[in-house]
Amino acid sequence: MTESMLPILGEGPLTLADFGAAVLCAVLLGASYTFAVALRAAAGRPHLLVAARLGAYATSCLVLLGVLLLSYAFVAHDFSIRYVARYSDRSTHWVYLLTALWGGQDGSLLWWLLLTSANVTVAVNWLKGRYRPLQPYVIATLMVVIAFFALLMIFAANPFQTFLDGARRDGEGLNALLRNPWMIIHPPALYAGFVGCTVPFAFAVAALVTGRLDSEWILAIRKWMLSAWLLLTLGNVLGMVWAYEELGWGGMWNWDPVENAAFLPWLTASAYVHSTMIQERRAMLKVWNVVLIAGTFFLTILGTFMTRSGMIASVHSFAQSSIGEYFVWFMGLIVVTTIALIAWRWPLLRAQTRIESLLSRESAFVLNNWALVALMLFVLVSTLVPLFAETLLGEKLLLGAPHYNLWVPPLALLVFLLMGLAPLFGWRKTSPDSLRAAFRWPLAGLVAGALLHVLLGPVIGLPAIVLEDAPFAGPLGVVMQYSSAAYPLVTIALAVFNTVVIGQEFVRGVRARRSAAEQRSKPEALPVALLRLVDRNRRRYGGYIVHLGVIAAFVGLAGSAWSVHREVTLLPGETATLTGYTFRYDGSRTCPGSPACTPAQHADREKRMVYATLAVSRRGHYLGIIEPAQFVYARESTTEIGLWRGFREDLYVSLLALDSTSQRATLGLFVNPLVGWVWIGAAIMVLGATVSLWSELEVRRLGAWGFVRAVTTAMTAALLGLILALAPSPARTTEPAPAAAIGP
Amino acid sequence: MSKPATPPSPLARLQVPRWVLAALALAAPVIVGLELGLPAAILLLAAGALAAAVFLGYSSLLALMKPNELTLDEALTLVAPSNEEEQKRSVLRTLKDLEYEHAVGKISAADYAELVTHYRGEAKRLLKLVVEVRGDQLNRAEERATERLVAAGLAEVKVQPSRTAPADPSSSTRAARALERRPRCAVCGQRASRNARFCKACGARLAERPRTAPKPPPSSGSHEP
Repeated sequence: MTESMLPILGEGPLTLADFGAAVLCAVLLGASYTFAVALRAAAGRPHLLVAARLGAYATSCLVLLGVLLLSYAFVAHDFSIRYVARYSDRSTHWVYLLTALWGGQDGSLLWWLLLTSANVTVAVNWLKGRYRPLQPYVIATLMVVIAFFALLMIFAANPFQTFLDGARRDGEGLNALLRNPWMIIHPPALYAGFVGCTVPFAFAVAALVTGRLDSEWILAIRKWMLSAWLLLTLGNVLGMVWAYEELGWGGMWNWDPVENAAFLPWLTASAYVHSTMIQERRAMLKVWNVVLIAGTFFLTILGTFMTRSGMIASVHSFAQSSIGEYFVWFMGLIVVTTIALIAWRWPLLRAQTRIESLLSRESAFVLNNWALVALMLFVLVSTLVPLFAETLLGEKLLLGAPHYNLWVPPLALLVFLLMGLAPLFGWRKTSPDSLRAAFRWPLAGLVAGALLHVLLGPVIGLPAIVLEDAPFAGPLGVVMQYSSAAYPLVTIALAVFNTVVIGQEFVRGVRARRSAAEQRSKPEALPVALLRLVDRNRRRYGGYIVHLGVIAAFVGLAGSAWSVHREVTLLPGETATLTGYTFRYDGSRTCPGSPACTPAQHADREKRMVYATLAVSRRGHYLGIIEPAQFVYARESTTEIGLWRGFREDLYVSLLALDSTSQRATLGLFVNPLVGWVWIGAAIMVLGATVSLWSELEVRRLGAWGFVRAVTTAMTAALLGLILALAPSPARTTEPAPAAAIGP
Repeated sequence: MSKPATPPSPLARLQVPRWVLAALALAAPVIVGLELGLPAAILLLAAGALAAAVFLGYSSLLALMKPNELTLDEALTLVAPSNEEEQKRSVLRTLKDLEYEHAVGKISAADYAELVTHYRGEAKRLLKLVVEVRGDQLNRAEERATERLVAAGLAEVKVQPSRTAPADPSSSTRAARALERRPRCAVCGQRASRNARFCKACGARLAERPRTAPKPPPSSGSHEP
């Protein structure tokens, strides 16, 4: 469709921008109306629930309308709207025109609202025949959240705001860093995880208000919280993939405040999915669970605040704006409401039972919760310290990656250890005999893993002890230096311990199942018993599969201890070496222009692509060509890495600078061992969480069609995870060598 | 109870299957997009969202202005699980879990016996409580739901007077009739719920009988059995 054929909106007395702003006001109105009707329904007029539900659906439709109007403004190049002019231009590809919607602050708030509304619609529809006493308060709470974001956009971050001096001829274009396929799915996945925590929070508020604080609401939100956790995991991992491939510094996590913002709710959500089991089984930790749910929701709002307000310096933050104040008030409201409700319901929340033995699964879970929350608090405080230092003391303070890399690993390894310990205990108490039997093999695995690592590690280039410089002077610095030297050894040993624990759980389960089947004279074959074991206890074994994913991810993260990095400047024909690899620089080529470019590269109007060609060999054996690049857009340029993935290590090259006359190239060369296991671990976590979520799927209850839909959805999620783990880098500009040739 | 449960919604009056509407909603923007381009498709979707918002808002106001009787869904949610039932489920799950942990050797036989005795006692107490607190309520709700379904032509009439019954039979008559329809335990003679497989009083297995009720009241979907 040519531009002249576009329907014209904005020439009359009412412009598209006016209409969009009116729709935002209608969203606020719809949410307020639904809130009022829902509360009335709670006050003894239950039939009003129908009106409240319809009101919630209508509000969601209005939000969708707002998003569609802004999308239309993007694809129709309506540069009278500031947001459109700021984040797109006429040369932007239509896919990126649509994703530009969440490229900046105002649009991403609207996008957040859309995902919340989608969640609200699903939740309200799901609630139809359930949890009647809680329903009105759940709907009312959800509406408060929608109303807040509508209010925020109307008064402080209106994406439909226009220029006072008329439309621009062209826009500024989307930030080049965001023109990456992972960027299309990373923000939606992460936001979906963020907003997924809203429904559990609404249930917690409803349970507190009605005083129905037994396991009812806990059971109600189980799959909501689990799916939010799954999406948060996916969102975080996709963000890591993007950072690894697009930022070109060789790593995937830099403890940027916005990365932290996404990590914080993941930690509390992870704590919750464990502590909820204690409330279900033992009617304990009621206050703790309410606090974790409210805390997770609070952290998602804090995360949005940190991402969007620009109050904490970050590569993700947008310009300074006034939305910070609104967020502070809203966060205050969440905290005050939660504390007041907990205080009011204190008598109902007090535990009726207590932990009877330290050697029980409850206490292992409680310890694991404390460790996760301690980790969360450490990251939270470290993230906020610069803000407080600047506000209160007027001093600029920066806590960078070294600070986190020093203190996070011990806490994370503690969580890793507790993850392995918890399944070894039974509920309530564990007898010494059972404990001895449970610990025998995992401990043997731990010792064997550590010994093998110490003996074989240096041979395969992954030594058990990696001693680096002391982080700071003084005795504490020396202690930290030597303890962090042992992290690779501890991680690998604990990984073996954890794997044996999970293997043992499966073996014991299958054995018990088979012996019971034999007693019934209906013997089961090993694969059948294994499948049925998982099928009958999906939640438990799904959780164990998630743990396997965590183990793989820990091994992958430990790989950073052995990564090697070198920065070189080369002229054509010169070579550089790194851990056995030899890189020969063969000059550069530019697309469009060079005969070696593909037709798609020739046709690209958005950017100029400059490739540096490197021939890679290892111990005299030629492996292939790797081509890192720089993409030059109208206003900025990006580094596009050359990447070969492998199970043992990744070969990662970024082009830092290129002199067009002399062809002198400055290159960052990285060998990153075991990184791929982070992505594989993420895929396994997705798979495990999907198995856990499957506990509701029964053909009898859902009907065949519902079952097919649910299975398809789950398979899509798992597939997405696998693609994420195994797909080649989209930023790669190389012909990969055969996988076998990459290893040593 | 001869009056229909609720007036059909405006959407239901259109008599168009839902899947047709969904297919249309998906196909129309795709066709428009292919023919006229992406902006036109987005405009069409926006128009659809606006129409849906207006329609739903209007329906909501209607529901607000003319409060109908409870819909069938809501009548059924009246019998949603109570706190006691939730607790009962939780205890039964714990028992299942204990059995598993004992089978895989995580708890010793002595601990297992002690814990199982405790939780069985708890389960018994809760079952009794559920029957006492909710039994009559459940029966009445089930009875009303059946009548509604019969009136709406969605269920067969088992007891003839139900359809031709006088406009408002007293609730005690209804309850008595409902009781009549419930199976009797062959061992102790107690009446059991219509879908029960075991007697609540003595635990004996009840004789198999064809299910006559249209559907049991839905329990909350998130519970494991």
